[in-house]
Amino acid sequence: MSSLFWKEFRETVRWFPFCLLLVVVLLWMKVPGAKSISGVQSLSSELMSAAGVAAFVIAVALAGAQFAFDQKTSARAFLLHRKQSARQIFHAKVAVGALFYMLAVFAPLIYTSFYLEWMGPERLPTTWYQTVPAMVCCFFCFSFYFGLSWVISRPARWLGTRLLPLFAPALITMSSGGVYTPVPINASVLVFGLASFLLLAFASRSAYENGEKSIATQAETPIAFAAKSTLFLSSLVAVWAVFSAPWFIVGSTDQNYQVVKIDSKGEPWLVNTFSVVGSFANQSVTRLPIVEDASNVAVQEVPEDWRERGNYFVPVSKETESGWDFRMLHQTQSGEWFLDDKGRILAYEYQGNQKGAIGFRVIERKAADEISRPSTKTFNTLQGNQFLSTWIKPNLFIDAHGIYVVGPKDRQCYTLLDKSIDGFSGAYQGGGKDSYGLIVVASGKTVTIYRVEKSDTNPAGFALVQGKTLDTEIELGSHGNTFVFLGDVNWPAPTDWTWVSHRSEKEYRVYRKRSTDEKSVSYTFELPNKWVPESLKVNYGPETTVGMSALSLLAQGIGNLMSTPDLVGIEAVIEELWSAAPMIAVMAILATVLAYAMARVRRLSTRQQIIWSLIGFLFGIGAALAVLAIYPQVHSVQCARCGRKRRVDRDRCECCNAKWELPATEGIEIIEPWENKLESRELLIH
Amino acid sequence: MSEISISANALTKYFGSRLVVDQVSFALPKGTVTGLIGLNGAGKTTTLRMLMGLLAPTRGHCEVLGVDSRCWTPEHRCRIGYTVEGHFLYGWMKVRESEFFQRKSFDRWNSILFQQTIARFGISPDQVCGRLSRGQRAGVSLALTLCAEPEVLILDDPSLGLDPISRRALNSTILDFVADGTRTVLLSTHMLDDVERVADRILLMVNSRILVDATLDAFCSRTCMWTVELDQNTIAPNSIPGLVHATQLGNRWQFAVVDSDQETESALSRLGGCNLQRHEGVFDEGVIAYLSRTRDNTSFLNAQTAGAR
Repeated sequence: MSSLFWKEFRETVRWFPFCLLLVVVLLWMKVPGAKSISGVQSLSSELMSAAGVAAFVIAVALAGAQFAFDQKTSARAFLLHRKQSARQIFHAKVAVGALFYMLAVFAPLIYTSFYLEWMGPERLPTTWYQTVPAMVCCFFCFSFYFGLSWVISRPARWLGTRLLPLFAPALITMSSGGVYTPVPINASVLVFGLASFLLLAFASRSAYENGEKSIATQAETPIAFAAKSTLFLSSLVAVWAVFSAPWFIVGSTDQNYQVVKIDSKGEPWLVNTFSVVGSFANQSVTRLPIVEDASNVAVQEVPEDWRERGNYFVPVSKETESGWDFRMLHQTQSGEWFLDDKGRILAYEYQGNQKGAIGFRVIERKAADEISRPSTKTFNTLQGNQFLSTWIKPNLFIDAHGIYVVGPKDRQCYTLLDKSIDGFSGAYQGGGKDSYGLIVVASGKTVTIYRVEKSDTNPAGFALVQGKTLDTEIELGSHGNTFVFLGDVNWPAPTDWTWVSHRSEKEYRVYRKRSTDEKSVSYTFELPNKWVPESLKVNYGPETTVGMSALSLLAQGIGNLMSTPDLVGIEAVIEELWSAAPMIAVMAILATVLAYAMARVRRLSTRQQIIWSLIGFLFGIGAALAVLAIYPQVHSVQCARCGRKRRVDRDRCECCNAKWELPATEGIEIIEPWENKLESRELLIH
Repeated sequence: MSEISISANALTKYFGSRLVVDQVSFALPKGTVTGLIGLNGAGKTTTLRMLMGLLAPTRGHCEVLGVDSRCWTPEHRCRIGYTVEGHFLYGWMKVRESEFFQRKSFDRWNSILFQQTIARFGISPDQVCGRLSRGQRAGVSLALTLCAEPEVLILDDPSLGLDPISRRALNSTILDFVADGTRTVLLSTHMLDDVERVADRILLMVNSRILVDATLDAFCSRTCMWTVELDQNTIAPNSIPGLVHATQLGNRWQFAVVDSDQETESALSRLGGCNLQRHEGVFDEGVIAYLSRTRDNTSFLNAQTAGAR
């Protein structure tokens, strides 16, 4: 084995400098971003994306370098003909590949962890665990190594299903996003990813061992099951990617935020902003058709099943210092920054995410002198009407006197809008690619929408450009300045708090505590259908029905029902499902027929044809592709006895049970078997 | 009584819908050298790859040293030497490193033999394999195969790129290798004189089939060449029993015939030519007659001229 390791090491080490350079360059491009305040918010995800891209390239390059060259007929014959088994050779390759992968990918990341911990949180608002998502992603990216090695080792047509195994690692790598989900979900997602990773590794090993012998030689082994499962999974993903994913992208909205605003009379209003991909934001201010459905709701009411329900905010102390939680990795994307009464910037992170926000913790403090905030500006206390958005760049503050920005490089505070604002709706991102954010400012009966754009003349590097002004029919007063985002941002106001319960796909309930009478009230409202982001909807159209399957669409519908507390809105869901039933049925039948036809083409047994037809019915047309990918093409010739087609790989005709006839002699054969041959063993089959 | 070292039973291979090896059966006894002869694309290398367990047969099975080729253990592989077609070596390795790599991969290793063999080809151990000439690469490849002291040697076109002296040395090596009668060689080659020099048996593959599986003596005794001068430009081959191939050289015809007897001579006489002569024991002419059944052996230029016409 040592010679194999030596050979693989020598062969692979040539590529190592390029791999290492790629990771270092990408990380070097990302980490300095954290030197500006605004860079902190997405450091973990930026590290994840950078390391993920590098890890993907390196995994593919290593697999290509280690397997492609050795897969040529003569090279493979030379390598396999030795006392080490093909499995040992594969293990040696993987061990060396993994070693270089770790050195190239994880070593820089570990160094980055130390660097971030050493720098932060005083000099840079960073912590070491911001590299954890990147490490998880890189771990799963190694599945591309097995994916490509399988592609190379697998006997299949390059223009056929050969590249199919690459879809499995793509799915596995996507599961690394599970670190951003709450514990019950991320655990299951990561376990799925790990299991799929192992399946892929075993399938790859099996393909390498068998080479051109194909799957047929190990038909019913657990490893064959692993290979078949992974190919099946890949087929489903491939079909989904081709048919459904484009429609998700085209049909989705770029931004879609709704803000519930409480006016001076204590009545809630909904301000909606949305934009489709590639276009400027459209805004609308609409009065919600909401009704008060309960009064005197318990002030601290938090449903016991809050984890399973929608978006919540629990009004706990903002100063809560809790330890780091694995679930909190996403904080940097949904955290908020504030100025306190001493002129310090406080950067907060949510204790949770979209599925379970339970509070804040302080992750960063900046002294006032570091910011050099103009002394003429007086910021109120944390609970006052000031807001620093981290959704946009640079960091914007809004208070009753105007809008301000902290320069990303010099950390000076500049005034963008010196204007009395008696109310504002917060600042949030929107618009096209070149815009840096939208600021909605309400003043009297007018809502003005500003767009922040890059500017060379402004010292801060940004200028506020007025977008358009909407005359509202409603008065958005400044009472309480309480507002909430539907979706994933909620606003805490100790004296007049509001939180939103996400009850169903479109239905929300707003709980609000009145500061005046110490009582609380709740409102229920339904989001207009056109405001529901496409990504939250179940698309029963033909474009997704083809790509997905009857089973998955039904599962989504049932999941919607189950996730709806008290079955609110069940009628709409059932109606939608019922109207889509014909389309689902047609697609299921089509998938069944296709899977059956492919099973016939591959000349599977009757039992297998029935099983695959059933799989096609349940899982869609991906099953038909899986049949093509899993079972090798079978050739047939005409049977000399019965005249029907018979498989060339079977000893007897499936129809008439005839053996193969020896080729016709031409009278010129000189066959003089060695004299002992027939005595020692039967060589001739007839 | 000798044992069988290599055997194939109804070995068949399809590549897609193309039949490459068609129900090939043979048995090669221990202590013999067998020459596997055939045109390019006849299925020789495919047969060897199936024998070596590198390619699964579509039907049938084959054994080397009594073990099915699909079930070899690594220990069993060490008993078999195999030279890959094209003399593959890792181009980045030095000759010394190639030996190290192979030495660690086989149970037995004769380093002295390796040194002597590469010295015979004028190769230094510090030379990089990628910079060796084709002949030198063949030398290193053969040395790496022989030094493992295998019981069976399967050589796929080993003389490719070798100069005449090296070829002669290779032949001597093969004869030395089987001298004690315990080892077996299967040699796939296009060099008929090499086969004639070293082989006890021949396997002749034509159109994916084995047409000849016999000792060299049997082959030479059962095939003979007839020459006759004819005026006519065409003949009816079916009228000559055992005719393998007929070649026209001007008005002179040459017939390769198997198991020639009185009936053959009568049929040839009925053609009406003159100067009918029989030539026996011509190995290479016999082989070429078999090979010419599927491919024209006249000048390419003649074919081009005929095509143009």
